Amino acid sequence: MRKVTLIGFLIYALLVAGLIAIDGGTLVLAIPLLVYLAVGALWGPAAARVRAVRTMTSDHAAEGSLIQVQVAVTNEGPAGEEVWIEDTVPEGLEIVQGSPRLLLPLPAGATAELAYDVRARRGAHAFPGVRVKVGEALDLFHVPAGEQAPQELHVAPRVQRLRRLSLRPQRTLANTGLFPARRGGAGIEFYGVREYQPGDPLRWVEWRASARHPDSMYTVEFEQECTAEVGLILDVRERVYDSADRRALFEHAIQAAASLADTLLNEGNRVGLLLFGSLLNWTFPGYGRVQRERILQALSEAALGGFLDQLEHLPTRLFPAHSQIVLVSPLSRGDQHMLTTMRAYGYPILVVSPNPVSLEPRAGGRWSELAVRIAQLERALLLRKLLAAGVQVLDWSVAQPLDHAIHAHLGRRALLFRGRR
Amino acid sequence: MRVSEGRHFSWSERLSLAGIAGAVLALALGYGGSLHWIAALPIVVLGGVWGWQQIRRQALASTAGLVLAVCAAAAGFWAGVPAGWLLGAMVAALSAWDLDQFEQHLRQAGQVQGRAEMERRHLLRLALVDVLGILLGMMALQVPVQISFPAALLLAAALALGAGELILYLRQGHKE
Repeated sequence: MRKVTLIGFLIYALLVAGLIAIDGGTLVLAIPLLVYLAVGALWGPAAARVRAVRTMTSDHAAEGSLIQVQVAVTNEGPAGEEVWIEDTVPEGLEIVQGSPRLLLPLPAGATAELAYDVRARRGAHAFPGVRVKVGEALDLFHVPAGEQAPQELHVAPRVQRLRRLSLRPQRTLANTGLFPARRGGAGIEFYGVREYQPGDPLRWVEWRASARHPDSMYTVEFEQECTAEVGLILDVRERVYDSADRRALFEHAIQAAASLADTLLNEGNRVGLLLFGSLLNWTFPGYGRVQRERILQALSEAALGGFLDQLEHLPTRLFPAHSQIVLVSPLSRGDQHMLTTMRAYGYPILVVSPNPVSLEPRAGGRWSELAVRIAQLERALLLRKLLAAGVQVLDWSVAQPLDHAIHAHLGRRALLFRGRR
Repeated sequence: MRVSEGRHFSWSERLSLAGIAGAVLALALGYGGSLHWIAALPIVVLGGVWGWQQIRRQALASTAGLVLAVCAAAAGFWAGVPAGWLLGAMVAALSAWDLDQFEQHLRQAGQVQGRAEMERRHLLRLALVDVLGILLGMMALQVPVQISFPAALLLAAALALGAGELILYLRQGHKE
């Protein structure tokens, strides 16, 4: 209850009591209260004009990083006996040092500075504005100066460095990259043997084949490595994140998508991102750092949705024929059909699937263990069907770092080859 | 919350506690002087509770204390307690409440700059209220006022209008 309200109520109550008792003495008790209000009104601020400016260390930050916020408020009106400055901090930001509220007397033309540090969760955080109220010494009457300096802070998901992904897209682009291109050229993996042509380095001559054919010489041919077109799909359908800690599972999926996008773009590939589940959010394919920032911005704003419920609604026309598809999704019953259909259309598919069962709390007891076993069996059956259809699947237990999981399941060919050399 | 030995009381907190003591003393002496000792005892007890809760920084302690003090002062007029004691208690209770509200306001702000200047200005303004309140109150007590029936009717109409405005205000809510 505001002070003015309480004092007004007490004055009113005393007047009523005096009227009921027809006793002027009770009315006298209201005099100090009336004087109190009158003195406050006499010194009350007439107008408030301020200019507020907020600066942050960065308005695009990585998740978990510390952001310093500074607010400067300049009094462009008359002097304020008590000026209350409050920067409304959006939900999702944790204040780790300092305070977003400041109270001080502020002479005309003077500037007050407020500083605090926040740590942010992934997402787009909107600062509504800096609230400033100018009041008098008894704190009875205030004049608001409005909200100023609205601003947005975009916090991108954390990106993990991943090692090389062992993928074999059916179609590659012309640029040099790390994906095998199914044709001979500059590379490190053995591709075949061809006839020697003048200019071929002598160290590449396949002497054994040449010895079997005295009339001609043969050269080892390596598989050319190129970049590829990659369609990265993050599943944001709410129903597939069926876990005790839905939010944590979703954040792991976002982190995986961000890390994969970062790695693929660093390798020179052309990457596009589709957020499938709510309204279609499509980041057009591109290269390099600019594309990385676009994708991270899209992922920072990703949220679960229920508008598109079935994987059958996936707009495959967005992806060029035979481009590599990387789907990040916990998967659910019924998703297998669309994925095998896409595989049949010629899309090589890698599914990185955060395991929702790994996040279920173990309540203990026979029924709990049985339920977990059944869930794991159902999931194993779904993944096995996908593998049989030719879809690469990484069953990722989120307790394990993604890089380790990828290296263990998808990096074997690279490891084996390095071992041979 | 236990009061630690090392806790520092600001001037406002000390003067607020002094205001509570002054209000309780004025009411107790006023009621006691009119041979209403039975009413003085609960006033002292409630005053003690008020002071203790305020030291523990309970947010509503001072508001409850002021309301009870106003009720006790209003009741005192009907019980024949001398008006001077009641007026003094009223001013002391108002000052105690105001200074506690000021302290709470400072605590709500995470950072305070120029605290000494604000505190000095607040105390001077409050002192002016106290002096004017007592002077005008004592002057008003010297002036006999007869409320005639038409005047009472007019006052009742004004109060009824005020009641309507209050209800409207409460329904709309309060935006600070």
